[in-house]
Amino acid sequence: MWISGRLTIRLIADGAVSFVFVPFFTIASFALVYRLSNRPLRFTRAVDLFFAANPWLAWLVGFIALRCFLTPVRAAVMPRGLWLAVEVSFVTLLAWSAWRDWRFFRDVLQRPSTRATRDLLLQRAIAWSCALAWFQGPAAAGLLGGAR
Amino acid sequence: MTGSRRSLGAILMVIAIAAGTLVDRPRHQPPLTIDGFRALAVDFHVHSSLWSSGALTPWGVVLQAERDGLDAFASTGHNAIASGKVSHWFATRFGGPIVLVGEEIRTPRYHLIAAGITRQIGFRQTAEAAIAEVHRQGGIAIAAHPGLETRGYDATALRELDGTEICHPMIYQRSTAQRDLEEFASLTHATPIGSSDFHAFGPMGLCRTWVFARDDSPQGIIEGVRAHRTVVYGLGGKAYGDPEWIARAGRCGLRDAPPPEGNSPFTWISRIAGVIGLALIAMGEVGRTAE
Repeated sequence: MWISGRLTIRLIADGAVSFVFVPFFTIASFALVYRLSNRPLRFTRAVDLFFAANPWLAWLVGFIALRCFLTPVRAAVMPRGLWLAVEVSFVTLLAWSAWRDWRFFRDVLQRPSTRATRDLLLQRAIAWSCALAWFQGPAAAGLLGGAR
Repeated sequence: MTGSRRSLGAILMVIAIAAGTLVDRPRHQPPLTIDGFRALAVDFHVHSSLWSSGALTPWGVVLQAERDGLDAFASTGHNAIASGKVSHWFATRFGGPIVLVGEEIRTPRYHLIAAGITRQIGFRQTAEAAIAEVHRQGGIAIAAHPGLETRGYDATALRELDGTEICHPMIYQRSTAQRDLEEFASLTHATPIGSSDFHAFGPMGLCRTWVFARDDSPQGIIEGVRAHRTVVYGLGGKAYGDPEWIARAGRCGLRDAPPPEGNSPFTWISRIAGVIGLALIAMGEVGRTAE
C-alpha cells in the first residue's frame, strides 16, 4: 500500500515473500525460549496464542491508513511532525508489545516473573538481531567496518 | 459479532485487492526520440528486499519500475551486487525495463552508486579507489545523496565522479537539502542525476533522470551519462543539466511527464476498502482472543 497507494495481488504476494523472515525469526526465537522451561501447552497452541491479538496488526492498520491521506511525495518523505508521531506511536507499540508478551510468558506459559523477563529479552534479542541482520545485509558491515 | 466483523472485513479486502489489481498494469509509453537520441526515464538508486532494506523482491522492483513509467533503473544493493544480478536476470528473461546491475557502496565517509558493474566492489577502500574500480568494470560512479556523507570525497574522487544526485526525496523534507546537493555538485564536473533511493515508501522514480542515449541498452545509458546528456527536474520543476539538452527536453514536454502514481477511482476504492477491511479483521481478531 505504501508503495503504490493501493492493494494488489502482485504487491501482497511480493511483500509476503520479502517479509517472510519476520514470522520465521519470531517463531524460531519463540521455539527456543519455549523449550527452556515450563511447557503447559503444545507448541502449536502456544505459537497461536503468542501471535493472537498482536498489537502490531492494529498499529500496521493505522500506519497503512495514513497512506490514504498522503501524496506520493509525502508518502516517500513524510512531514517531520507526522514522522515524529509515527515514531512515538512505534515506541509505545514496542512497550505495549513487550508488556503483553511478558504477561504471556508469565500467565500462559506459567513462568515466574524473573524467568518471564529473561525469556522476553532472549526472544527479542534473537528475533530482532537476526531480522535486522537479514534486512540490512552487508550494509551494516559497511557502516561499522568503515573505509579510509 | 466477531465472526461477522471478520467476514465483512474479508469481503472488503477482496474488493480492495480486486480494485487495486484492476489498475495495476505496466505503463506502455511510445518510445520518445529527440534529435536521434532515445529519451529514457532512469532511476539510478533502487533497493530491493534482498539484504538491502527494501520492501520488494529483486524481481518485484522490475515489475514496479514498469508500472511507475521507468525505462531503466539501477538495482543497487547495499555493499552487495546479488540483488542487481537477480533483477537483471528477471528483466532479461521475462521482459521489463532495462536493469543496470549496481551497488550502493556504503561507508561512514561516503555513499557511492556504482551502476553498470559486473563484480562486487569492496567498501573498505577510499572513494577514489572505489570509483577507479567502477570505471575498470565499465560502470559509472554517482555520489549518492551527497548532502549527508561526503567526507570521503577528496579532490581526485570529486574529479572522477560521473554523476551526482541533484534530486533526491530528501529535497522534499529539508529546506536546505536542495542547496546542499547543489553545493556538492558545484565541486564536481559530474552530470546531474535524479534518483528516488527507493526502499519502501512512495513510488519508484519519484526523482528520476532523463538520459539521452544513442540506443536503449545499458551501454547506451552509461555512455549518455558520461557524455553529460542528462536532464533532471528538481524542486518546483527547476531543470538541471546541459542548457542545450534542457531546451530540447523542454520542447518535448519532459517536464510535464505523468507522475509515477495515478489517482483513479479504483485506487481510492482499493485504499478505503483495504483500510476498513483490515481494521475490521484486526477488531475481529481482538474479539476472538477475548472470547
